[in-house]
Amino acid sequence: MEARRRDRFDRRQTATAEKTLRRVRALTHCPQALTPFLDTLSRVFVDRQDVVHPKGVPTVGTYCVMVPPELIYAQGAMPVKLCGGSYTAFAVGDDTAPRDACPLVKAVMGFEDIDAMPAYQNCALMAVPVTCDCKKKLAGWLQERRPTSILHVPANRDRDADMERFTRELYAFSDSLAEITGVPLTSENLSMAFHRLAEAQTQLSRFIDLRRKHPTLIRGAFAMAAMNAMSYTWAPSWTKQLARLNDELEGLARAGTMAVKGNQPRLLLTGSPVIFPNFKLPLLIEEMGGLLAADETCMGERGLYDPPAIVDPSLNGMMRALANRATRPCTCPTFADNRRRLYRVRQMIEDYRIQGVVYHVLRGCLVYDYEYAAMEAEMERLGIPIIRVETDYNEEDVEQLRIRIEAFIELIKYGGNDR
Amino acid sequence: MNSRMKQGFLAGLLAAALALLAWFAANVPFYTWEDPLVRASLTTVQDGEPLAFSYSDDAITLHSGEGATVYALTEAGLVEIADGETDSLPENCLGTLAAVKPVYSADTDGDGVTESVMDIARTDMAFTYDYEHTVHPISDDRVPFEVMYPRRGQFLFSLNGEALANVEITAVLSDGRAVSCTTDESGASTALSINDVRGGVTFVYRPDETRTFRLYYQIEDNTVFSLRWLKAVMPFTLILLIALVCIVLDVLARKAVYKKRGLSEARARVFQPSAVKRRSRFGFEFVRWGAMIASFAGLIWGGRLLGTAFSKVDLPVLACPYNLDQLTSAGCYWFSHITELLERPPSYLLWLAGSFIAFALLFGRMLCGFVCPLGFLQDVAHEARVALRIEGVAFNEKLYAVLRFVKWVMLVLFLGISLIGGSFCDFCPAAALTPALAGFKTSLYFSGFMMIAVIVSGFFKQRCFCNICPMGYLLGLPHKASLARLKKDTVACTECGACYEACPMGIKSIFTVREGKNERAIDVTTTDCIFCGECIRKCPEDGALYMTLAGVKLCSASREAFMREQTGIINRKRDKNG
Repeated sequence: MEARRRDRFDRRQTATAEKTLRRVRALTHCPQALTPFLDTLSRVFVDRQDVVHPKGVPTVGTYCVMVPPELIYAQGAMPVKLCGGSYTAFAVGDDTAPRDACPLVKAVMGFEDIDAMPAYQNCALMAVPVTCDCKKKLAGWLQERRPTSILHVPANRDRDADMERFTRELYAFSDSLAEITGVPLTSENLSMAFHRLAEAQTQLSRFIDLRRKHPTLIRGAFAMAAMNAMSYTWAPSWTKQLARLNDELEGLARAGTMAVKGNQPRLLLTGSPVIFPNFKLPLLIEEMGGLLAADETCMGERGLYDPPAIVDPSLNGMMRALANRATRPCTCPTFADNRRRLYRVRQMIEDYRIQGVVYHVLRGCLVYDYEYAAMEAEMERLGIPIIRVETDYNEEDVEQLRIRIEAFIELIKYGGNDR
Repeated sequence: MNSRMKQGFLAGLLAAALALLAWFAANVPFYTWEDPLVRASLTTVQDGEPLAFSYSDDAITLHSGEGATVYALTEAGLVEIADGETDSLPENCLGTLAAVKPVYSADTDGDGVTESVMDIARTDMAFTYDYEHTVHPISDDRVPFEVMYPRRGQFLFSLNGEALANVEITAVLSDGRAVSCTTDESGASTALSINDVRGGVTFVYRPDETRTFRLYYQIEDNTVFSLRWLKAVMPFTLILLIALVCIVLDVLARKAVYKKRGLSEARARVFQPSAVKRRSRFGFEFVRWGAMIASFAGLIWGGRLLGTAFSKVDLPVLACPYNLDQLTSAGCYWFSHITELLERPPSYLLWLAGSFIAFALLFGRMLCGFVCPLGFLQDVAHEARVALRIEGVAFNEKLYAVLRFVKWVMLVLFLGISLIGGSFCDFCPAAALTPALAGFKTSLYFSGFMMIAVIVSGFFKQRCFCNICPMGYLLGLPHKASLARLKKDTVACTECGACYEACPMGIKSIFTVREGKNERAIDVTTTDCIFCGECIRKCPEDGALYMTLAGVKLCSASREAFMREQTGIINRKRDKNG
């Protein structure tokens, strides 16, 4: 029984991942330097192997961008972002989690239940920031099965006390890391990790600058694949891969070879996380003649966007910088006050010359759904069309989504919006 | 009355009470210079040079004193020193020495008429000594022609006890240059600068064709970097040493506390090594440090370098007016001594008000970030800590609120203490810095302890004293009209709080403010902003924060520059897994 279940899971999971990758590859103007990113996704989701990392380095599963990768690298481990996007795992998790729980959490529980993904199973420690109700229950559920470190996330971040509390949370997390890896946190190894991630961020900044070029050099679906691959790649390797992609894009820019024609409607994807292989929306946008010019999602660009600012280079100073970076600039709607997300989207609309916004809501992802109203009002003020798309982790709604996305793109194309 | 007002009222009362208490602490001496005059010895040599005094440490030499009568001015009046030789000056000596030669006849000006010539030499030792530079008039028939030096850049002339009004006196400087000094109604002339006096100056006065008075004048001077200067700097050295001991004790105490609290060993370590080196980037930082170093030198030795050309400018920063060598005057003295200010002539009031308003409007607290020597000292302490990789003290709202309260106490003291007969200078830490480094022996009272606090706190927290500085606060008050502005593009801002974290003044609004008229350029300048540029340096968003002076962009946040600084110079070998 159990074996058959696993077998079925294997087949389906592999099939979905393969199909998504095929669709990504089928898009036009795929840069050659994108291959290593797609290979990483293929390795983890199709071949179902563990992530590539140096020998003897344990992996730590993180369930949110609020877990600072610097800390994990500093103490001799590798972070792997485990937020799940698998339809198959979601179906398995559906039996465990309540009906209204979000599909992301269901997918994670499914992976955990079925025990078939080495990238998940080999994690020596789980780090779960309590960002929403589902994550909180997930943390409790994981705790019974795995060594788990729970990080308390403040509800607001304007008060210094909140930030200081999150710094203490990070120290506590560092202690659990030390138990796993045997490497205590020191100012030296933390600064080294800072440097490692800063190099990745330098390349990301370069990448973002290239993405802002008009007409566009790279499709958003490719960019999201590259960002998703980061979750399963050893940071220095990812930096090198991204540097190569940047080089190629720079070459394309010099040669004047743009990925798409200038007149395609430029869309911004924001809202609930878009996690491989749940690439429904980016793929639909690109396939229906739109251009995913930018994304404001935490498995996308935002995952590494904000750099920590070291004011005091001592250990505590760096920990404060991490806590600051993890909470204050974060546009996650889990925070009570989140006006900054509207400003962030506005800035992106300007930087990327966005013509329309696709607002992604995963079913049950209440916090993102809550913010739709404010976003809609803001977009109305700016005269930018916005569409709210609620999806679940299955393929049943694809056709209906296709029609809606197509109509939205047509609206921008012919709707008299001549931005 | 709502609770907020009540709280403010109570805080004000408490501040006033504390200020009153502080008044009693004012006279706690830190270091007082005592009896510096009897130490000196006097010898007379015959070397063919003109009649003059010269100094070699504490040995005073009278040149060509043959036949001259040497007098020392004491509290009891003029005392003659027999033979012009003494191992120590008489007790109660006020530091003024005079040598008078018998009148002789000669034609000194070559007009063919023989005059009666009187050669006099005078020196004032008290010039570089202690708080008030008081003039000691000799007022004695034995020394009929008198030249007094009450303030740098001003001389008073008198003959037989009467001020010489509206006459012309020739001053021959040490380099042979002749300067004509015309006196005003009160017998004062402002034709000479402090540097002319330092080298010795000979005044020639001819009341009529048959009389000539020649007076050689010299002040006692502590040449910079000489032994005497080192002695004058001693109190400051003492302060540095005590501050150092305090810092070491603080660090050790913290280490013990961290250990006791069971924090990790790495955190409790005193020096925390880093694999990434700090990289400074050329630009705003360099300009700011350059300006600070230049102004530090200028506000300490500027008078020596450039004379008194700018002495009418009253710079409203905490440089000390007891340093008579600084390039400009320091307006702070008059704000803290309002009673004395009102006694000054109206023209002076205009100068002061004009200087203050001009500086406040043109630069505002940019002076704090770019010019103030006390700020420079704190920045050096801060950089030293960062270079040593010692953990700093991270401030939060509560600690800043405490500082704000202390600032009110300081302000009450600053503005009010002169009204009840005190002097803020007894508290002001700047009194311990600039006069000493310029070679002035200024006694330190509570200000010495304040200075220790300034250095220790500045070491652990960047620009800690600036948070409580009353002069800086006054300078920041008219910030709304000032040309220096800090602006924020609220759309580009991600509210990451790096600016607030970096701000030495704890200005929180810079990161929280969102609403404004033009949200692409909201003015986030506050009374506290010292324009140090740390917020812009730590801002990772392109153009989210920028500084303008009269509309010209001075510097702007840039992600590229930010990332360059963050990646630093790397020791690649250590990144084994990279």
